Amino acid sequence: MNPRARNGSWIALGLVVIVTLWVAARPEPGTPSVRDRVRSVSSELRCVDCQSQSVAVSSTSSARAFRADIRRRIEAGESNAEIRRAYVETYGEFILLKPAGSGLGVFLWALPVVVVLMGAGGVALVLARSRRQPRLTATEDDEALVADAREHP
Amino acid sequence: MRNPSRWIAIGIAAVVALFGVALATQVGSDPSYAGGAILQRRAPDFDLPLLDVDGARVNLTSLRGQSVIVNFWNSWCLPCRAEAPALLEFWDRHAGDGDVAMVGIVRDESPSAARKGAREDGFDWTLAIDPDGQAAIAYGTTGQPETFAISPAGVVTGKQLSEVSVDDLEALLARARAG
Repeated sequence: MNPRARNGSWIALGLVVIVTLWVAARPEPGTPSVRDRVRSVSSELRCVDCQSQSVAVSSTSSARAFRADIRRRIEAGESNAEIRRAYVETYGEFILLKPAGSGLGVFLWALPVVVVLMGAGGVALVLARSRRQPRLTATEDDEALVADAREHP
Repeated sequence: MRNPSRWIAIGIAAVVALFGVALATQVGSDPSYAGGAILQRRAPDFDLPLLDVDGARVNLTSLRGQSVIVNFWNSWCLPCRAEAPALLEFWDRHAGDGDVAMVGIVRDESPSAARKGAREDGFDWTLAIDPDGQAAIAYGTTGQPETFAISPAGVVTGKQLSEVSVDDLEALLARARAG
């Protein structure tokens, strides 16, 4: 084999390896891996024996047990919503780091918006009223009073 | 409306008060404070290896027909050690009752350490390990000790999240027997 043909073979082999690795490593669009799903679900769940940490980031044994349970449920074919629902049925809404988008959760989400809107309304009203009220001007008596005070400090 | 800003302030105060009520309600739904979502529901089945008998297992189905006290514990948890005398006294009273079973499930500890702790405290009821923590999750535990009462029909009738006294255990058993 002449040197040019041998180099060509190596280049072809290198290209095949690169393309194979790229195809293998590229995540399939629209189908998250089991690991991605475990991370996604566990990041929404409260670690039950830590302070305000998610199951995704906690290193406690119970968080590890949760992650293993989530993985087992995913592999058994449960959807993310079904897994969340199963934990809520056992632990109550407490297990969710974010309030649910229904019932009391809606109220909790909406409340800050309502307070800000009411506050903005109050500020707008005060500004409008101050604009409507005529500015006070000094009367002749006022001017005389100030002049007198200046002359006799 | 003569003074709208006053009404707005009252409105904001009312909304903030409602927020406080909502938060208080949320605290009530926290299983650390309330009875938990598992009460009056079918007890999750478990099939766990025994702590002190290699190869043997205990499962809840085999205890159907008995009132079952399930106690999640481990030897490094101080409240668990503190409640040990109550568990011992309770079991002394009821070990001979054919309709009562008690299962201690080790939560978050290696079998060897739990075995040593159980030996030190003189536990002689059924003790099981929960190697992958699945029973602890199925029962909605948030720590230990946590004690559950299960009726002969397999329904969770009682739950205590803190150290139990003998009276607490008797009350749990009464609730389990009442079904």
